[in-house]
Amino acid sequence: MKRIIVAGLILGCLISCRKTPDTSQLTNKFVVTTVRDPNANFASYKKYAISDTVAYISNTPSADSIIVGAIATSLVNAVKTNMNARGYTLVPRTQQFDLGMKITVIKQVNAGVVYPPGWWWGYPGYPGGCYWGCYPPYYPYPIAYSYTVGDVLVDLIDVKNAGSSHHLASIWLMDGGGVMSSLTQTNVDLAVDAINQAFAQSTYIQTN
Amino acid sequence: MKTKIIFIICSALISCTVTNAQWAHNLFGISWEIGIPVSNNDFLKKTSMEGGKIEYRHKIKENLTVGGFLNWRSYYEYFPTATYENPEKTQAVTTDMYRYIYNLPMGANVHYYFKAGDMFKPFAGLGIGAQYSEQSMYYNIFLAEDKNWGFLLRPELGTIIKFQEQWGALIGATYSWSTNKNDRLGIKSLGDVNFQIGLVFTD
Repeated sequence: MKRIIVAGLILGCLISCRKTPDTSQLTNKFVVTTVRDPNANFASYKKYAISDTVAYISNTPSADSIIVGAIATSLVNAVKTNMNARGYTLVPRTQQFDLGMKITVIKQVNAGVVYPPGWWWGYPGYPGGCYWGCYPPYYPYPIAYSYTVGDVLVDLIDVKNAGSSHHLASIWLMDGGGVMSSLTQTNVDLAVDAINQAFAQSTYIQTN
Repeated sequence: MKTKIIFIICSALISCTVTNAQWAHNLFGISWEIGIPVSNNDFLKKTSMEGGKIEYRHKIKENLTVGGFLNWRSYYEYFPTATYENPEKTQAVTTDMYRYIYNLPMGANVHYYFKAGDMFKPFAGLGIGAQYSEQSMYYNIFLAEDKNWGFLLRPELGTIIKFQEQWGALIGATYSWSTNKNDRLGIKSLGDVNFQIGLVFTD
């Protein structure tokens, strides 16, 4: 009977020992997703226009706005560099153009509360150094955490074939998303990298 | 390592018997398992060192036991940044990721014991039951996870090495096959080969 009880305790401990990956190895770069209209002929377009501002949306509605200045310039220039390299010609929005481009940035703050599992956050051993007789600290209080997730989206709108009904179809969309840094410049760099990667994986965006 | 285990098992099976010693009525085993995925290798193929098993066997005849088992096993493999496209090449995603499979096989088992010396008790067995499985992908801060159940079959070969009257060692190899299905990842079934080493307690 005692053996069964011991076995049950071992069973409970072992089932709780479930190994999960060490996700600290994952890169902080944004995950870059692109989607295209399978019927779009990217070679048939020549001129494009793009706003110099970036739309900003967050999960705090009152904070929705437009980004201008250096941050917007960095993102817009990344798009222009890639489009120009693919043979497209940038024109002002006051002129006739085939493709309209729009950049949107989304920021979402996520927060929660975690109750640490006691000694050493559940891991055995102590991380070096003794305090007050080498006893590990115990956390009797909950800890609040927050992280911010962001997305940069670029739309490619077919203006050339809008027709009299002004049907503006999005023929290409990129989404670069992931956890954001507390540093603004880092987030700008992440977004620019994502834009560059989106074009790199979209080799069909090329004019004649 | 694999060759040595197979050699030990085969030696135990081939050795001539002298006596068929009295065997325990009940056996409780706990083992550490190494798992090698043999299906869906395009999802992940890295060997797992994080696995275990507990089992119970009850003697119904001198050379036959029935009982139950519960396993657990975690597979995970890191994939560096790469671009993945759908077959139509209309969608693409670039990221690095961890792919992860967690299996929880469980069921009833039956074992037949071959005649051998007092110390070795080689056996062949079959486990039948169910398997709970999770297939996951971790990328950036995101997690895509699917959970499913499947029917399970587990043939196995091994031997018990009796050190003392009420305890000994257990070594063996099993092949696990289950019908767990994941249409999103193109998984039609799960299969792995496992090598176990552990302890047994008897009464």
